[in-house]
Amino acid sequence: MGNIMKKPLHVAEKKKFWFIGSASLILIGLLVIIIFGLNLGIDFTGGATLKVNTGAYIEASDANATQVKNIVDASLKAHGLKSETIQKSGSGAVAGYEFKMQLKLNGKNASDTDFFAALDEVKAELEADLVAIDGIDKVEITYDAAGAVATKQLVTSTMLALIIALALILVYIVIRFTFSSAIAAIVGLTHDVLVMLAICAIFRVQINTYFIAAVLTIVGYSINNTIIVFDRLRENKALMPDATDTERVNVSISQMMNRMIHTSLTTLFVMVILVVLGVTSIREFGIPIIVGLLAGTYSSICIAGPLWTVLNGWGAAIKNKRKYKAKKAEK
Amino acid sequence: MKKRKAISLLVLSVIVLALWGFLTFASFQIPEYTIGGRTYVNNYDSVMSSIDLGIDLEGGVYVVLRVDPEATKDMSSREIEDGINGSISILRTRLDGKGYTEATIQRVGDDQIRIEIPAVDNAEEVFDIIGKTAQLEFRDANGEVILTGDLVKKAYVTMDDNSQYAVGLEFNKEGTQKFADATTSAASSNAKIGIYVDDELLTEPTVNEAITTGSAIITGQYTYDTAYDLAMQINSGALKLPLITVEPRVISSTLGEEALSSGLLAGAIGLILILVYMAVVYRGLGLVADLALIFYVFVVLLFLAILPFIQLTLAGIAGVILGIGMAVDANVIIFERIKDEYSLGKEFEVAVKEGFKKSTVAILDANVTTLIAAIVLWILGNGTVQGFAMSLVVSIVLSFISAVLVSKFFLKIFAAFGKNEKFFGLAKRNVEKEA
Repeated sequence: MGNIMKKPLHVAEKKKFWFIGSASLILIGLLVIIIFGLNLGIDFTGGATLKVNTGAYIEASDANATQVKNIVDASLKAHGLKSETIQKSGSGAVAGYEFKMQLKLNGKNASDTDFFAALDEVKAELEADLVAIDGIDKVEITYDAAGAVATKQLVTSTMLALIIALALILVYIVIRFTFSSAIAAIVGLTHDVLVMLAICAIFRVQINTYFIAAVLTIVGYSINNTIIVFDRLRENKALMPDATDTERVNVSISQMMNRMIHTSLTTLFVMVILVVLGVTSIREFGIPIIVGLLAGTYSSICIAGPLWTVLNGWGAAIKNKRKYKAKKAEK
Repeated sequence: MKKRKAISLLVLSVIVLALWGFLTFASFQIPEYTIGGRTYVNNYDSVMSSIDLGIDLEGGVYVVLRVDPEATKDMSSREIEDGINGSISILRTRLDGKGYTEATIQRVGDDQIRIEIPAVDNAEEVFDIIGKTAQLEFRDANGEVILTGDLVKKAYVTMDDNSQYAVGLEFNKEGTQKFADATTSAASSNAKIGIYVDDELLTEPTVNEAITTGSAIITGQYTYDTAYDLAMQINSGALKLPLITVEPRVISSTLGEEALSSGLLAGAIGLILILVYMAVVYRGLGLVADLALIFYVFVVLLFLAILPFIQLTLAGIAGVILGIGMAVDANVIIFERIKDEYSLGKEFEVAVKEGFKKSTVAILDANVTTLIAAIVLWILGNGTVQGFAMSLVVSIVLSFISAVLVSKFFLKIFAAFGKNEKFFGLAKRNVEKEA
């Protein structure tokens, strides 16, 4: 075989190091989530983002920018709305501000209908007021608003779909590979998603519906990666009948190293460029995907294979115990 | 393969790809031509421009409506079900009537309706159209309102005496009385009674006799489907199913275009980087992968354009990128395998054959597992998730074909020009030196 005689990397022996490292990162992430919560966008919390786009006007001077911000803020206030954060978005012809607010009217929780109605009035009012300013020829006001229920249902239906999908994948891997492989693959992809969540929680990346698409992309990517490693393991089992599981994992991973690097790099190219050039909504799924890609590559090298050796060890121990018991019973 | 055949195949492939690329990206006017005395002037729309875009890429209005749980707690699930179907059909009629023919109206889950309307200038108008409750009215020949929808107990599909589909109506007590009065006076002159939903005339049956029983049937040239639609529309007008807006979004077309164009630019740059990277790392083999990858991109765009149920969304772009990743991955796996086999001292042809053979199983397993996930998400997911899953299913299938079959085809052509180790980036291991 090609690379067998090359010095294999000692990945499987350092399994404690990998497991503890990943577990700590995920634990820190979970702690951050418990203490500070996730930085959830309006898709999850309910609320609205009002985007006011006045083109180049606000870029001309700071005074202009403040003027526009004050007008919008005043109008929001008059209708009982309050902007929590104001963010600059776009540049040149699409320059504008995003005003984010919670699902509240006059400081109290509001019904969806009343809230949306107020938002609509603000929009109409601003369209008239802003165009009246000298130097603004075009105003574009749009909003994203979500009630409190819409996304929760998307999350529950996606979770259900994902659980069914994972169950089917599990069955497929058990049939094509082994039970240990199936468990290791599922643990690997759960690891990737948890790392994504942890990093996004720690760095306060905002989570919106697109995060769900990002998670799904990583589930697909992670499964793909892990299966490729297990395929090599399966093949090497026949080629190296006398080797231990640890040796086999080390050899298989070493053989796949080139492929891991090339595949991860090429996919990363596209994602990084997408994040650098893309608009806010693209970044919302691009950044989590980049985190997930790195986690996925890492886990298919350092988690899935080594875990497989541990699971196989347990499997063998259970078998031995049964044999031992059976022998004892015979006696 | 003979060298001459290889040359012609390569030239042909490059021409096909170039032409395909042109048709993918360029729209143009087809020169006028005359057939049988008629002159035709047609435009060709590029594949890219024919791709159906989601609201997040095109701009527009996106609204999710939900049945008000408070106001409908006394209704049976069957009534709500009929009410939703009726509301959808009413919304359809209303939006079509106002020229929003591109609107998609979908039922989501048990109690929601999702409406997407691309490229809307006047969002307020759309919210007005969507927001109002359907109003069903029966009017006499003079346009006077005889009775309104709240007096109709239910409408259903039934058969008339000639076994034609018809719509049955049942009135409540007050409705029975009013309908009896109206039909008595209408029957004397064989007048018509118009049924209106939101001031749109749905149907205008002629009254043949006075109807005093509190039930009536509307006959006409109905199929089951059209009769069902009408019944649902009447029901919905009658039920006044209370819907509340849970998610209104107005996405500006500028932002949508910005998302799309920046996405496309990033995709193009990313793709070029991958093409260069593969050519540098794998040399001749890399060029093979590049041709296969270009094929993949063109064919994915083509499928996105021609499959009627697919709409490209931002999440869908993630699916396509995952497909690119998997296509590159498949080629990398195959090439690493070929290199391994070759370094062991196998002949070029044998190494290529073994390389493809041994990697196909791995690639197939990886693709099938991802495909399983994608199909489940397609069936059970909704909204963003479904858009992602659809494009992923298409991408996986096409990436497998391009990475395995198309690259094999190009590798055979390249091999016919000579099996230069350097060109293909292959090397035999010097066993003596290592020992």
